[in-house]
Amino acid sequence: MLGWLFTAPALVVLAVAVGYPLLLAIWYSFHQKIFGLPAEFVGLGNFLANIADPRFRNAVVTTVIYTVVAVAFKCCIGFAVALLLNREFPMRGVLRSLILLSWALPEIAVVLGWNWLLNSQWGALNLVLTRLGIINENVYWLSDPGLVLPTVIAVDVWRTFPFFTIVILAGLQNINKELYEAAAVDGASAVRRFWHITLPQVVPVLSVALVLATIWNLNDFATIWFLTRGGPGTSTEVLSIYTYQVAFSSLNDLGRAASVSTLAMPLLALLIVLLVKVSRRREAEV
Amino acid sequence: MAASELAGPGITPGSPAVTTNTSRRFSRRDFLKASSLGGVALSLAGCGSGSAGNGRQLSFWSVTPFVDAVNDLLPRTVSTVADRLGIEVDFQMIPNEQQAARFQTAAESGQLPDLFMLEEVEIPRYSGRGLLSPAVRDAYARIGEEHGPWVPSAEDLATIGADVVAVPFVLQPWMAYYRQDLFDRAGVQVPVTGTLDDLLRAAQAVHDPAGGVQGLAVPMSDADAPGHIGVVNWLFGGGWQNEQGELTIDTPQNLAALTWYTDLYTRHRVVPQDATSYAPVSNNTAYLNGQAAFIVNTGSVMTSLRDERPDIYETTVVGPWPEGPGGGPAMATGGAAIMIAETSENTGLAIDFIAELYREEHLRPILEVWGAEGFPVLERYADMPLFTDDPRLRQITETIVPVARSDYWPGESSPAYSEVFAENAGNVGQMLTSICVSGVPPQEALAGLAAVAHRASERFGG
Repeated sequence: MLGWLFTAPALVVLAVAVGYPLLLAIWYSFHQKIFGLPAEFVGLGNFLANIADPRFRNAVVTTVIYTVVAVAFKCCIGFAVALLLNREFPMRGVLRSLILLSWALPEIAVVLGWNWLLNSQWGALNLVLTRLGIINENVYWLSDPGLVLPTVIAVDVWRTFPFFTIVILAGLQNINKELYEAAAVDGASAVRRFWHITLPQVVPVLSVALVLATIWNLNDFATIWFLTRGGPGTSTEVLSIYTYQVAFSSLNDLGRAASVSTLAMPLLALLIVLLVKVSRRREAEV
Repeated sequence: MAASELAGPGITPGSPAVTTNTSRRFSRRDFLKASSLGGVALSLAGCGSGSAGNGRQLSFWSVTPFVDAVNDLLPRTVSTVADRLGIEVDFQMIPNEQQAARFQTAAESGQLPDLFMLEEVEIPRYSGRGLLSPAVRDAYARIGEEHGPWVPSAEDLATIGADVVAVPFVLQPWMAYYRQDLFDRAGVQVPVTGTLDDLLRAAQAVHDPAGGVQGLAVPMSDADAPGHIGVVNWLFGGGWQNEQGELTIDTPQNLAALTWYTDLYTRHRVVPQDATSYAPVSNNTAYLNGQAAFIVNTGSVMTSLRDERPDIYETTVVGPWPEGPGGGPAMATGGAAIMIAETSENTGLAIDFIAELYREEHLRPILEVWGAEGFPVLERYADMPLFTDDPRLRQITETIVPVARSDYWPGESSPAYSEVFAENAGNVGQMLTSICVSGVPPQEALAGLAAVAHRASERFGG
């Protein structure tokens, strides 16, 4: 009873701030809700309209590409940096703090900074590359349809790979050094030591990090919004941006926008279940 | 019971382990109770009405003008007016990119502020949804009596059909800006007084991306659409609606205009590649940085040039869009107006506030700093020295005002029009980017916009 009492304030806040909006969004998703007008029940109409909308399908594909590629790069770069930071070298502590900086700074400040750096007309990146002779004319990082998605992914990876670094580093530091010593005595190469000792030991924490990063990337809005607003055209329009545009721009239909989120719920629920299973397995091992 | 028994085994009364503090300790239950009460108190505090109903308070939201000096003066003026009336005014300036989300969310939750100021094409969206109070008519009439007459185009700003829905605050004509120094070097006379094709040739003559100069920095996005594709339609004999107010999107004239306009990007390449991502301030910034030979914008650029880039100010000339196959020259005129929310419980106070705000001691200084972007809505300010003595503003008055048309020309403002063409609606931008980015043929893109217009007409009439 006391446990419930302790959690009651948090549960009330969750119910009001999360539960009610969630239920309302699901309700909206079965209605056409233009701002300022009464809601009209449309059944599955919003879901069918989304599936039939090429812009929605484009948003799904863009979201998948953005998530898979960004998470893969973050994982690899984060792992590599964690391996580096796990070694002993002078000023290791300072370097660890500096690495964390991109992740610790406010997201919007960082993204706006990148927006200025990447500006095709007066951004510092084009200026530096031009002075170094790497490019002859300005590169349209954020407005060339072929370049914009990789650019956005690069910014996201730069900003958030430290999360993987920290998580994996914690896992690395829990590995018994004797295992490496024994492997070295047995003549195992660095690659074999990594594959047979490091990786299996780190997989539990890595799994948690991967699932969390996937959820965050699937829901990412601010990074893309402040870089490109989903443009040029719909080149970087992920589901979260598409939802916002449907709600407040082109269709002004809160119901249609809510149906996008409702469609994404099963996938996110699956990821959360996966996360809980991995966490519980980790707790059991500990 | 002896103290030793109370203290427990092994504990001696008087030892440090035995406390004799008789004050009540803050227990876990007390903590829970305090947390719950605190949570309830915070929730109640957060449940405030956007429209204050306690008599001497008003809430007032305004879109953020593009002139810094106005952004500085307007809040101070609102505060002065509030002090004069002995009331409190919660004044907020909403950034352009947040406008749609903030206002629409407020409308949806019944929390629109008592007063709000929006740009012209947004106004019918709120009128068409019954979100505006008819009390604004009293304010409009009172201003007209005390400070009028209204400038004719300001009356267009305030009305939908015969209904007064807003009080005009400022007129904002669009204008084409030319860098005379760049065009002189290329041997081209500006402003271009010939045809659209002459303008294209002029742009090609000065276009030098390697040298950092774009011929025509016109957006291929939603940004500033009324002053760009909206006007080009007229120059081809088209328009987004006819005189009867019916939306006329998918016409041969509009298709010709759209093709000419997007060819600037896709075929002639005299428009910067990032024009498909232009925000409302993008071409301002390009011109202020000396990277554009030609832009179209409101007078905000003129005011910024005067204050920040006098070198470019001196070498800038303005004019309308030149003549096209279907007519011209022409230019659009928009504006901003103040509305009273239907949900306001302080309409009387709102009217008093508006009346006080429009007194000359408050309005004249605002017009003086607004400069070229804020033309007066009342005749009495038309002969302000700012507008008669300043050569640039006189140029606007002489060359642009005579050919300026309301955004809605040849029809009138309507909710359906606003639903499709309000800048935050995103429809025009989607059409332009589909052509320029995705390679969709102009006819197909225009048909897409026509479908949106058809839905808006069914929903809101027109």
